[in-house]
Amino acid sequence: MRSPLRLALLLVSVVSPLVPRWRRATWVAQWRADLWHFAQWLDSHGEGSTGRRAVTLLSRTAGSLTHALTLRIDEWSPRMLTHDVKFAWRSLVRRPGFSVVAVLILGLGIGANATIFSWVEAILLQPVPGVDASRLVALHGTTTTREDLSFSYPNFLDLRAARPEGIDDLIAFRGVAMNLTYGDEPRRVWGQMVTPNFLEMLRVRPLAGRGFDERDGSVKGREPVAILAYDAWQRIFGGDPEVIGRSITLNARPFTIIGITPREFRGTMIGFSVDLFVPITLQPAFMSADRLDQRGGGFLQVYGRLADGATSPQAQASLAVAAARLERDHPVNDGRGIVIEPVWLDGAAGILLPVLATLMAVVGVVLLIACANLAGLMLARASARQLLIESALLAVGGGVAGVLLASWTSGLLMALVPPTPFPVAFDSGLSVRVLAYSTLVTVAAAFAFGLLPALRTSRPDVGSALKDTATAVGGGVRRTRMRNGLVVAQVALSLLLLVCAALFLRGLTHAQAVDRGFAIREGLIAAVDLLPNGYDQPRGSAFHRLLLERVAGIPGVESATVAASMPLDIGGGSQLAFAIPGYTPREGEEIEASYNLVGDRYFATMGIPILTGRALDGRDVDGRQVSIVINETMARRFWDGDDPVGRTVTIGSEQAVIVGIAKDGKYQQLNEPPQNFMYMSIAQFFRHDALLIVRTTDDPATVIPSLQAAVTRLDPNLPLFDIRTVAEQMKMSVFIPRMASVILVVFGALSLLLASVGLYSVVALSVAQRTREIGVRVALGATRGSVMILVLRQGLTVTAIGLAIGGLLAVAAAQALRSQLMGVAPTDVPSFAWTTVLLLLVALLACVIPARRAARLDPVRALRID
Amino acid sequence: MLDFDTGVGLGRTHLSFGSVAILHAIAGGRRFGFDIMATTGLTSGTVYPALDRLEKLGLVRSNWEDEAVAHAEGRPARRYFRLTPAGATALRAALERFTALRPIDIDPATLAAEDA
Repeated sequence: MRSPLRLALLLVSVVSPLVPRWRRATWVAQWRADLWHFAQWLDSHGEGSTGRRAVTLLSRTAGSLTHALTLRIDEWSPRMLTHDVKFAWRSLVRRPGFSVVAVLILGLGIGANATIFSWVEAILLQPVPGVDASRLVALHGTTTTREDLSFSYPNFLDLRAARPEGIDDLIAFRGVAMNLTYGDEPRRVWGQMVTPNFLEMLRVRPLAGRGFDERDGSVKGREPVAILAYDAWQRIFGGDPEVIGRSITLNARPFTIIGITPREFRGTMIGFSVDLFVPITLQPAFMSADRLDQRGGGFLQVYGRLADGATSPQAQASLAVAAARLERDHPVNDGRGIVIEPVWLDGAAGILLPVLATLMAVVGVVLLIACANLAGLMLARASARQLLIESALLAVGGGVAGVLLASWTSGLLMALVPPTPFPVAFDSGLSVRVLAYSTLVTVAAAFAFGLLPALRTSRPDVGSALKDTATAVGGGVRRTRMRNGLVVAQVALSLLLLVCAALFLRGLTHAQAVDRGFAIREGLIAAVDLLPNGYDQPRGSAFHRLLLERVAGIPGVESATVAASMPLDIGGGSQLAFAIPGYTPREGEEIEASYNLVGDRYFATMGIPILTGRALDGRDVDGRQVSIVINETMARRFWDGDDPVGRTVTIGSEQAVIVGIAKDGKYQQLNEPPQNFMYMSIAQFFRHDALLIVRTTDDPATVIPSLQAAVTRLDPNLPLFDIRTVAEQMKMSVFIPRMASVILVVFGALSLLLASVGLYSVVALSVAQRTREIGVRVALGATRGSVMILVLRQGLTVTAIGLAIGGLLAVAAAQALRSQLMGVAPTDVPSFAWTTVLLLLVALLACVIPARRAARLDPVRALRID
Repeated sequence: MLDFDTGVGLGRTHLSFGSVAILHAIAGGRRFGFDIMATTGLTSGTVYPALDRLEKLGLVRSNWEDEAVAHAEGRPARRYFRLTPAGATALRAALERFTALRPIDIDPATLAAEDA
């Protein structure tokens, strides 16, 4: 227990300035003895690991803070406190420049933390707005290789009927886009198909009308009822209170509105805002194929509520039993298990988690720099008591400034979210939790920048003060050393942030330069969904063909196609398992590939080169031999050296012939490794919802009206939605690295500014302290150059030490961030070199100003100063 | 956590339970902070402020152990506490009130059955 004891004793000496001076020596001695005895006792009697005992010892020091505070409070009569506050206030007002700068620095640091915390809260702590999600878990189906499978309706019903122990209730749901007609205008809305217990299990009480009851969801296809979300009620129905009982048309079927959900509730599609809810038993109206009786096809997300007192592992264990029974009863569930995770890990949060963790770390570092900066500025304060009150006042100011800043910047989260085809909703704002967090950060900051200098001030440096008259201006050797140490810390942390910013920026450039495998740059993407209007496969394929013919004739259009998805779109791709006759999979090898369903001229429109064989085209329609195109990686992997063209693969019950090999590309993420990919004909594997992809000769925006007209002419009731340019789409694929770069550059610049102010003030103060010494040197014949070098050397030595430490920190941080760097090495030399040079230049600038002042000193006046 | 109930103005007998426990421990020969905490089960943030208050009220008196003695035993010097006559009176009065602090024989009827 040697080193934890040393740390505990250090903590006690950090707290000690709080104790009134006349009691301090006794207080410290008493606590030293206490901690020493406690450490001894832990060594002989303590249980648990060494780490656990160290924590116990350190937590004992919390008592010293309580003790110190009671002594301090005993000491202060209310009148004295008022007097002290008045005194501190006057002293701050007398130096408005210092006070304003201090409040601004603190405000930036606290504001940055509050902002990022408000995002964390919106995304992680409040994953389902309007619902207490703390007892909710998300269930996922598993196989040996995957842990993210959805559930089929029969499996869900059996699972719920099994009443697994530790789980109160289960709900199932699925988000789906639908066409809503009210009056004559058709519009695209997002709905959620839900089980009848949905609102009840989430404990959401309808604002008006009623929720679903078991009757609404018991008989397939019956009870076409819908519940409106508040936003949709306002937007579509103008908040009409008479809306309950009215009929609306959803995907060409009449539905009766039975209720409205409260304003805060937006459904359970994490991050998305849902417009309305319908019973799951009406699934066939909203998705192709009736899936309610299919045990094999999962399409439902399932959430559960943990029973009171039940833990997640208990629920997990009982679900495993239920899963085993499902596996035994139904062969289609072979190899399937169930895992649970907290709902905040579900959905978008999982992707954003590393980004948010990085951001929290970054703003933490910014606040540390701000505190080190302020601590340096506060070192000149005379007494510990004055310091504490002044830092408390400054902290209040900084806290208020920070919260004001955050109230504006927390909304930027929505500005950073890319345009998506879904209505995105995160409730970022200043909640009670954000305010509480800001208060905590403010108090911590006040202690950090107030107590650190107080620690030094409380030990008067009598010896050196007597020896050296020059120290009268700013304090003794100890203070100078501490001030230098604080600047070293600022420079080091600033370099850390700058290196990270540089690495992310280089990663972004890297990502943008990556070969995506397709050449289209000017063009439009729009979505068309044929399902709501009742198209079947033959009519749908015919519609696609006719639409492409019409669109190809529009002036400005070079080429057009339809496809199920666009590479690098959000949402990732789905995997398809297949078999290759004659290929024996290795142990545990799953043969699968990501895929896209594409129409005629897809490869020409996207600019994806076909290396051998042919592209999929108008020949590959229903009734003909099933054809596929595979990519280079897949060809190499399974037909190493041989020509796969003409070979067959088995996809489900279909034998598909490989007709061509396409160039490799990036499909889900820019930094993904090469992966298997295959293209199938959308006319053979029909999809109702497809993207119309148009390559244009010039500005794509001019083509939009003709595109819409072409669709309307073919079907006046069909909306063309989610229209975006290819350029916008490409920007989205670098959204996360771009966001991270922008934020890191902003904070990096901020930290550079703070560090340079810190450095400047230290060098300037030292020049002031050494005025007399410099005067003597000049009087004895020192040149201006040598005086400048003298001052610069001091500043640059501090900078160099900071750079060395910061470099080491940055190497460690870069290793931790490796996965987010889009392929840039964590030891990327240019990132380190350029930021070091930048910091050196700024440091030089910060030192030159006081150095020049020193060089211009008039020796006569300098010597007369005392 | 902060215990301001020192009983000032309410008469000396109205000490908080924690303070009485501390006096009780001192009377039982536990004479320095760490030892008092170990036997009362109170936290450091309660015991030290309470000791200060009891000293201010004149119920206990403290003196520092001789440095040489502590040094010889290879440990930091201890601050020893002793009850003043007023402290002893207050403790006696309090023990009348807080009957729970008196030693008793445990009545078997009050024991809950052991969990299986």
